[in-house]
Amino acid sequence: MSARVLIVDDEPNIVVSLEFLMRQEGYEVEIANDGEEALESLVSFRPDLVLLDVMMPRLSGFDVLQRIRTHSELPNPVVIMLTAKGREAEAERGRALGADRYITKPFSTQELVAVVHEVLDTR
Amino acid sequence: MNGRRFESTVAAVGAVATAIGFSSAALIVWAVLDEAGRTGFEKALNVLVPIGLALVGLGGFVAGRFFRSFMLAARRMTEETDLIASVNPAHRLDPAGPAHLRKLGWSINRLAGRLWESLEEQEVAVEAGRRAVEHEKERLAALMSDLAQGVIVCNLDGQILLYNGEARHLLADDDSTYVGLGRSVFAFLDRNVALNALHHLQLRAERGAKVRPQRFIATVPGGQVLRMTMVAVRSTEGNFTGFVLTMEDVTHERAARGRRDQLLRSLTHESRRSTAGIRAAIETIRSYPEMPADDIDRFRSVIADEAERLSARIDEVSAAHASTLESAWELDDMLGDDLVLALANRVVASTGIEVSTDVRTESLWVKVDGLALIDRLTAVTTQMVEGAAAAILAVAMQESGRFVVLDLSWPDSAVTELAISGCIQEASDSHDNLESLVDRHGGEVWCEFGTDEKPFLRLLLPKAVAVPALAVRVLDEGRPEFYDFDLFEQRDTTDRLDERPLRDLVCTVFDTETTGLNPSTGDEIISIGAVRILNGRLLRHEAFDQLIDPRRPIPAESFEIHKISGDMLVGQPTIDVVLPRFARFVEDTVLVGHNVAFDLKFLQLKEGTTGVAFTNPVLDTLLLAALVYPDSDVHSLEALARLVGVEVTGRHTSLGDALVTAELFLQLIPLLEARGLKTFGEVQTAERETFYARLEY
Repeated sequence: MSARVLIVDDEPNIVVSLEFLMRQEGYEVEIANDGEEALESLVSFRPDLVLLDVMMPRLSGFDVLQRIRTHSELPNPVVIMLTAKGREAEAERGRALGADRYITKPFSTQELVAVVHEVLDTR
Repeated sequence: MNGRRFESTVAAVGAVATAIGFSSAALIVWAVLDEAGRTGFEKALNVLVPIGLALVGLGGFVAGRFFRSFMLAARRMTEETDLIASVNPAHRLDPAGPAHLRKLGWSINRLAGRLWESLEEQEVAVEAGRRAVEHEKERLAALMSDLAQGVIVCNLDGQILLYNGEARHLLADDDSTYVGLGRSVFAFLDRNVALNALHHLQLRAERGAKVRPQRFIATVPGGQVLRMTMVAVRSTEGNFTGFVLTMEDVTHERAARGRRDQLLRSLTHESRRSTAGIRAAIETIRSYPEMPADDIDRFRSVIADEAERLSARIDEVSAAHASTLESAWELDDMLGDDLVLALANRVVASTGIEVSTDVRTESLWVKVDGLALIDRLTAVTTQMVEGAAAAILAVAMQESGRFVVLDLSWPDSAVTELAISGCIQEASDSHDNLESLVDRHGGEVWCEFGTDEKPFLRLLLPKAVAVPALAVRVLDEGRPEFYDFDLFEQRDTTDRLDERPLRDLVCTVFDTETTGLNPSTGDEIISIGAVRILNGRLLRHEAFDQLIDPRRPIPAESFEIHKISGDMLVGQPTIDVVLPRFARFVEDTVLVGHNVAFDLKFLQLKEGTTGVAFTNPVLDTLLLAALVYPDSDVHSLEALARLVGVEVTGRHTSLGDALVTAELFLQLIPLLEARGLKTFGEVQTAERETFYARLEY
């Protein structure tokens, strides 16, 4: 059975590419357009991996990550954080909250695919 | 009249007196005798006249000797008594000559003893007052030297009346300029810039407006950019008498701002270029759906190429300029412990609740806007006290990579996640919210949960890279004589050097050590030492002390005098480097030295090669001493210094000798004044005369 990937981002333009890339790699994909939707999908879709954008309205990526790591009733997938800010303090905060990887936009699509493979393989 | 002429005059007078006595006796005898007696007397005269002549000669000789010993001893005693009365009350006569004169000598010594006792009594009284003043001075000195900012006080002519170590450090970082009392501040500071600021201060004062400090940016000779603040100094009548300048180095700040501006420009420019390429390509593709596959490929590679270039540029910029971007705000380095302590104190003071602290970082510095941060965190705690009845604040600090983690929790209260998140987002009237404040620090703030699932506030703050150099720079200088407020009053002094009183001169007292005595046959200067005298005060801390590589070996006999070996001179600058510096040090001052012609000869012989001519007016303490003690055969610096009561230490280094010479000079001033030699012109004329008199001698 192929792994399930949840893409959480409020920018449709990047979602188009991410969705296409993940499907090409053979993963099952679901999209959430903000933090609230992401929490719902976590329960319904039960992803193995979440590509999680930091800056989102309503509930930020950090908030979602914190819920995932602190609420034991939620599934506990691998989380790769995506951010446009790219500050070291932000990455440190992501690590502190339990993100597995931290990728700064813009990124190379090949690299992203490689990282996804790596974290899913070492899971 | 000199001693020798006086002596011969006295001898002649003695001889004439004896001759008159002898002749008168002969005439009287002649008058009372009868004819026979006169014949006998004539015969006797044949014998008596030679005896008489011998007696006349003897009389002259005895008178001369008597007057010689009496008069010269009396004159010497007069000089020494003057010395006791003027500068050296500890001096005692060594009575010589006739018994009566010796007795007078003992009496003068007894009187000197009484004078000494009464002076001592006076001194005890004065000492108490002096100590109080000294204490004030020391406090001011300590305050000034501890200031992180440079401070300079000037009169309206720009003469420096006060400065601190930091000002000297900022203004004269290299050896090309010297900061010193009485020197002009315009050597460091553009005259127009300073006068313009001063003009504004004056204008405002004349309009009766509150005089606010003037701020301006100035670049100093060393290349540093300084932010200056100028405040007017006003007399009690309200007149401007000078100004105070405080200064700090903003070179790095300015450079950082420059880099930011440049960064912003280049980023904008390059983003536009790449975006233009991408946009044109994709719009073209979409406008021509029938485009051949080859053309589409070309456009695609343009898009890929530009996108990649843009990504790379952003990565490069954020990596290389992260510190530039984050230094946009004025953050200070603060000790982590201090931040926690200050926060705890502030919370206790404003809410009265209990604060416990747990700091696991030792001497760790953070880069923060401490005041704003403590302000916001105290406000957060106040909300917790009011909204959730918190009675304890627990503050914890620990290290995490390049960051410091600061946690605030309220363990005894039912503080909710919502309340904490609210505090992070909530903006107050005057400040931005906690989130943007922490963002400005390049940090992060969020609501974290403990093992007991209780929410608390967590801040991630960047560690400071290093303790700022300025804060730990140890001032190696002692307490400098760094101020002279008499200069405030000195605006009316004459510009004519000849008419200036000796005690108002600005002097550089100097001495050199050399490889030998003959500059014309290749002897060289190996050391120059100098100190300044201003308003009759020796400025020990404004010294010039430089060894010089003579580019030739040191002869053994000269080593015996100065104990400077060739090894000590390795790596020292050569004379052509040192002399221009020394010329700047002595600029606009009177040069003073002991037997200064010797040192000047060395300097003058270097004029051709260094291009530095010393045209300063000159005074020689050897000649000045001769003016005070015309009959003395004491010439050496050490003996003269001891004679006028100067303690002699550190001799035969150029600086040590310059210091002794300076003190000798200061002691000679009142003695010269007592002889009616008060101004530079009077002294120089007299000095020239005694110099030629010596040459003739």
